[in-house]
This record gives sequence, structure tokens and C-alpha cells, in this order.
Amino acid sequence: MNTQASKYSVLVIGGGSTGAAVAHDLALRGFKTTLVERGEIASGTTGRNHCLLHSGARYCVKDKESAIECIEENMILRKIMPDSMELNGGLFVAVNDSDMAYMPLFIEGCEETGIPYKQYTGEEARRLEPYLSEKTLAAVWVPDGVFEPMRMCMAFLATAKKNGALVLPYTEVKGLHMEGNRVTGARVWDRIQKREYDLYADLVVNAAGPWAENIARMAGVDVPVVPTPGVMTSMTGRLCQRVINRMNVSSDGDIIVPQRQTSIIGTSSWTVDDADYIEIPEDHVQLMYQRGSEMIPQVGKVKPRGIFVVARPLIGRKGQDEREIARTFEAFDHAVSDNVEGFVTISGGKTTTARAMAETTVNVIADKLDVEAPCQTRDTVLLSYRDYYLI
Amino acid sequence: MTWTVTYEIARYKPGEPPRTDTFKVEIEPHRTVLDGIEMIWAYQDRTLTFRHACHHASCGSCAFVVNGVEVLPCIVEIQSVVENGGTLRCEPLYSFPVVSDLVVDMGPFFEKMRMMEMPIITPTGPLPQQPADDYNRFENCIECGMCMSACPVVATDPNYLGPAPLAAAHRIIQRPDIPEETKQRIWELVDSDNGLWRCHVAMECTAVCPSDVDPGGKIMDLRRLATANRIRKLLGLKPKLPVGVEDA
Repeated sequence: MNTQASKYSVLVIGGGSTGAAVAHDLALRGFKTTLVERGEIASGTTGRNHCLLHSGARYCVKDKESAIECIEENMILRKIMPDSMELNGGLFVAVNDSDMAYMPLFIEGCEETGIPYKQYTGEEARRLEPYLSEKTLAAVWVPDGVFEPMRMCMAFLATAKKNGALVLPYTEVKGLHMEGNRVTGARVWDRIQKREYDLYADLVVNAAGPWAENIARMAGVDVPVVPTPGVMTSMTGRLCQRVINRMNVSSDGDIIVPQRQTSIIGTSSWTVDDADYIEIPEDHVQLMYQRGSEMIPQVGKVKPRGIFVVARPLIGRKGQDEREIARTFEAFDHAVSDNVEGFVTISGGKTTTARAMAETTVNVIADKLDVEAPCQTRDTVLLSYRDYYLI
Repeated sequence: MTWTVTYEIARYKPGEPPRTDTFKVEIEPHRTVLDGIEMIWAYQDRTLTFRHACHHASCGSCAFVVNGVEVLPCIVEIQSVVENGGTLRCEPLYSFPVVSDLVVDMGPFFEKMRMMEMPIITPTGPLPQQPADDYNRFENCIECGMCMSACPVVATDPNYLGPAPLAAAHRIIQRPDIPEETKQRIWELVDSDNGLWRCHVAMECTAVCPSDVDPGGKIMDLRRLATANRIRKLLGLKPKLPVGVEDA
């Protein structure tokens, strides 16, 4: 027999894009929802991300599953959060023979994964984007975009709050409560009031990103999350109107994302154990300038405005080549994988696919609790991010 | 080479008297003021609360006051505000309710921004490098609140709309995509007792703005517009506003 969603309380750990989208999905389906985040909303991986609304084209050759996820979600997000993204498209540009050799594979990938594209000659591309290198030989337009990660989370959470969710920033999980093999809640520490207290729930969702392993350990289970940082350099001035990608195999410094009055070059990739504070390797910064200049020489002539690093929560095992780890996501029901009840971890993925990650996760939760409540987030237009502060 | 820098941070927790804590940080001089704050949180004091997200001057969340001046600490290098062995004093934004340490309540400010109804996505672009019809972009204003903190009038009158909301109004009345009714409603707020006539032209807003929005200049522009139309009204002429409304 199906039961009402409103009979169940769910605690979400993590206020990045994944946790925010999960809280929104849960609240929309009627679950009693509480979200805790140890810092400010989007102060971890999400906030410091590249701000790229993926078209999926970056993955269309080697990771088709991720590419299809991205293009589907890209089209949905355009509709549901119109005030959190620049819809400016992206160009994949070829500046040498190796890039040109990659182009047929790239176009085949776009065809196979259903990503709309349009081909331009080098000359046409430079007419669209005057700062592109004189060496530009060809370019392919795809529906990339640019979002504001923090405002995206705030839009999800404003809507979640309107639907009854409780959102608690500056609240850190210190431990999980267990009854037998069941997770029943969390001991949390309010960093504003400096006090500890308990939050009980029928189910706990671990959406802690690169810290998901730490949370899972509190329930005695292991999740294979590899914190994989990348360096990004934000340059002074908007040197392109569209996202500029290198038409080749994924590599360091293969993208320039324009946002407001800056151009963000990214990114590199390595693995760390602790994601709390990550030193910025100077050689990675120099590499961003150098690789970015190959597409837009002007980036070598302007000053950096912000240099930042953050860890992606990729799913995999340490020792695996981090560029080979699929960028798709996984929801772990720990009852199935570890015989621990009432505990679900969602990890991997990327901000572009946060809504889909939430849909999958809450489907798992609804099944576990025998609740029939279909996902409604595909068609629900979110409130403005400004409402986050006002509800 | 790392420097040793002392952070003097204004601390506040509900129910406790405000105090100042000092932390010594070993940090490379070209790292940012925010990097140092994050290091203090990571290695010295987990009760320290601060707002941050993008670390590249786009989200507007991290703004606070360093040595008496509003900054976005994510783009301010240590070496630009302090010397090796020196001290930098960090305080929350002025004229905002303090929630905890460097965290302020953005609610009252966002209420004013919401009154302006400015979509943060613009089809026109404040400084387009070339005409194009296949893209849009974010507005320059990142709603960080620094201009509100720096403004001496906001400090004495919470009802004054303030620099960022007035700069937003200046954008609104020029944007071709905004409906006339909205423009009319906004103009009535702008040319009111709590609107553009309260500005004392201190221009602190323009001085601290990290996004070249120039709120002070925009307020002066709005005043010229309002004055011209008052004169036109005296002469019996129809008002000539971008908003196309009768003088409020």
C-alpha cells in the first residue's frame, strides 16, 4: 500500500547544487524536508565551479552517457531557472591539425547524442568572436551556456522553502545516529549559536560532494568518492561572448567561459585526500594562461581577477586516471550496498545535471518508503534566487 | 615565500558581547584575503563564519570591510592591503544586520532589489563589444551590498533605497524588454522621498563598487532626468522620460 510523502521526514546533508536540488525535489513531492550545510550555501564545490551550463559536447566522444544527460538537463534548466543563466552558446574551436583531425569524431558525437550544432569556418568564427586566435581553422557552435552556481542553488532552495523545507546553513554534521543498522538522524553543530543538537529523520541523504566519504564513514560505510580538484583563473574583461572550448580530447585549460565582465579559464585535474583547504599549484595557473592563450591570445595580456581551486566529487577509486573517470552520477542506497538502512548517498555528476541527480535520488527514496509521488521538477519553474533571503 | 599576517576579526555570536579575535596566518602575499579567512576556518577556528561561493567576483557573497574599506576579499591580494608582518582588520558590512561574525543578513537589501524587479539577465548588455542577437548575459551588478555599506545616507536612514537599487532602476528604465507598467512603478519609487533626492553625492558607492556599475553616476543621471521633467511640467510641456510617464 502506498503511503503519503508527508508522513516521512528526510534530512539532506550538503547545500551545494546536488543537495539544493534534492531538497527542492523532496519538498515538491511533499516530504518533510530539512537541509543542513556546514557553511554558506554553495560555498564548496558548486560555488567555485566553472559556471558552464554544459551542452554535453565536451563529453560527446568519450562519455556519451554524460553527454546525453547534459543536453537533456540543459534544455530543462533553460525553462525552469530563467534568471540564473546566460544563454550564449559555445564554440568548439580548432586551432591546429590535431584539432581538425578531432572534428569529424566530435561532429559524429554530437549527432549520436542529439546535441544541436552548427559548423563555421575559421573566418566566420572570428567574425562572431573577434578575440579568437588568428590560427582558428574551424569552429562548431553548440548550446553551451553560463550559470551562476550560487544563484542556482538559491533558486532551488527558495522554492524548497516555499514548499515547506527547512534550510539550515552554518550547520555541520558531527555524527550520524544509528539504531541497529538504521540511520535515524544526525548530531549537528550550529556554528552561529555554537551549540550541538539532534535532528531525526526517516531517511538521511548524503549530498556532501567531495566530503561524502567523511559523512558515509559516520554510518560505517564506504563510498568511492575521489576529491579531484581543478584550478580556474578568472581573467579581467569579457574576451568572448560565447563559451570557447578547444575542439580536442579533454585536457588542461581547454575552455574559456565568459561571465559578467570576466573570462574564466579552466581547468586542471589531480586528486587530494582532504578537500577543506587546497593549495593552488602555481604551475597549474601558468598552464591555464598558456593553454587559454592558444584559443584567445588576449588572455595572456590581461590581468587575472580571481584564481581559485575546488575539488570535484568524482566517483571512482584513487589511482584511476582522473580524466578517465566518467562524469556521470550515482545514487547509492546503502541498504543494498552495505546493509545500512535509511541512508542514501548521491555523488559524482556535475552542477548541470543536479536536477536529474535529485530526480534519481528521490525516486530511490520514494521506492524505499513505498510512496507514490512522481517527480515534478522538470516542469516547475523555480522562484527567483532573490526570494531565498525573503522566505 | 610566505608572509606572516595578522587577521583581526570582528566576532559576534547571538547572545554574546561582540569581541575581536586575532589569528596569525602564514600565506603567500599574492593569495587573497579570502584565502586567508578560509585557512583560519580550516586550521584554527571552526566557529568562524563567513559567506563565500565563487571566488572570482561574480556571486557577490563574500563582501566585508577590510581596514575600514568595503572589499570583495576573493579578488583582493594580501599584498595589496597589508605588509609582511602587518595586520588587517576584518569587519562585517556596515548598515546590514549582523548574523554571526562576518555574515550579514542580506534580506533587507534583497527586498529593495526585488522592489526594482531588475532581471539579472540582460538581452542588451551594458558594454557589448559587438551587436549580436543570439546571446544574452548577466548584468554587471553582482548584488554584493558593498555600495550600501559604504553609503553614508544608508547608514542613517534604512528607508533610503540606496545606490544598488537606484542603479538597477537606471538600467530598468532603459531596457527595451521591460514592460512600460513596470518602468512606471519603478520611476515612482525612484522619484520619491526615499529615492534619488536623498543621495548626498558622497560617491563612496562608486569608489567601492567591484563591478564598475558606478551607482553614484547613475543616481546623478536619474536626477537630471527628474529635474528636466519637473521644468517641462512647469512650462506646461509633456514629460520626456525614457519611462514615458507623467511626473510622479
